Amino acid sequence: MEGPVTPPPATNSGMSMALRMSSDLVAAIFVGGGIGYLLDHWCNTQPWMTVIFFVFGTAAGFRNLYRIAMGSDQNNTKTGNRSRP
Amino acid sequence: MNFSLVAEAWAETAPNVAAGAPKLDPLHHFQVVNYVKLAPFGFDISISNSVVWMWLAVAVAFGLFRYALRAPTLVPGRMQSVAEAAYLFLDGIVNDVIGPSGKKFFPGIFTLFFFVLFCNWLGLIPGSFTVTSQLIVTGTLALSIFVLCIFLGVYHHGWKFLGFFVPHGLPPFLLPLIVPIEVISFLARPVSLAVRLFANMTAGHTLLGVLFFFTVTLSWFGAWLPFGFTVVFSGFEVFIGFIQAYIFTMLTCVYLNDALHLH
Repeated sequence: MEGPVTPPPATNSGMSMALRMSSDLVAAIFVGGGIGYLLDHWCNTQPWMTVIFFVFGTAAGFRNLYRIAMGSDQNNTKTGNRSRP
Repeated sequence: MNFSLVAEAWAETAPNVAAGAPKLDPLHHFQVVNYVKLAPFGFDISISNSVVWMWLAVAVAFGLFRYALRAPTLVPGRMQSVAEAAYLFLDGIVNDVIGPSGKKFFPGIFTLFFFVLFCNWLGLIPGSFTVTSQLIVTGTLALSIFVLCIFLGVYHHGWKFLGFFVPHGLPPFLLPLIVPIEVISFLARPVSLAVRLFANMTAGHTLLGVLFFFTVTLSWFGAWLPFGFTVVFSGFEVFIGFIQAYIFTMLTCVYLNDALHLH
């Protein structure tokens, strides 16, 4: 069965999406920065790893936002709909 | 339990109130107070107010369901209807997100939802302690779910688990760019799960504290406005408590589904 992924309606409500988007973006940026900082600590490459992984983290955060907006992380297994972004 | 211990512990943390003037201390609600200090073999497992309110949340959840289902009838009465509605609500989430293979996770998801829900709600009682406003509590929950998902992914799919980080139809020269991004967005899951719940609870209670401080310090002709806000905001916090528990549980189901099916 082709067609757009239809997530269950209650999880599509604006407020739940907004709460998830805000925290996912911030968390991804922090995780990227944290990984970069740890790598800098171990490899003594201050500050380049922090910068690079901060950028990666921001990109990952926006990728998470896209995934939430497209509803593609909730595949409705009843209709057998499995699409990847 | 020795209640004078409780009183002493609380007295140590109370702010020094100068004669007549209340002090603005919105973070007083979040003080963790040790009631009974237990430290066998160097592990600190003291019973603090966080532990007591977790026990209370579990007791309330268990007691409510036990009471609602004490004499179940085919045509349900009021309490039984509420319990059945709660069960069906969570069953709907698990079924919609994970599908039939999620059946074996249902008891865990149910417990998780009601634990978080009652921890959030019991924190709204004046004088209580909000368990989920501690980052260590939400972090432990989120981290254990994350570890469970990794374990499930590796157990069911072996090394193909790592194929999760490579989207379909990707030209190979983009791999060094896309894979770190995918790994970071995967690692951001437990962080966002923990921080979302912690930040919402902490912010809500701090705001309530500050608003009510204004009610206390203004004179009679000004105090009704912040008092009205406090009442409305308390109601909003009840709603937010429910929404946060729902989002936490729903995302747990989504991550479990990813671990079981999409690898």
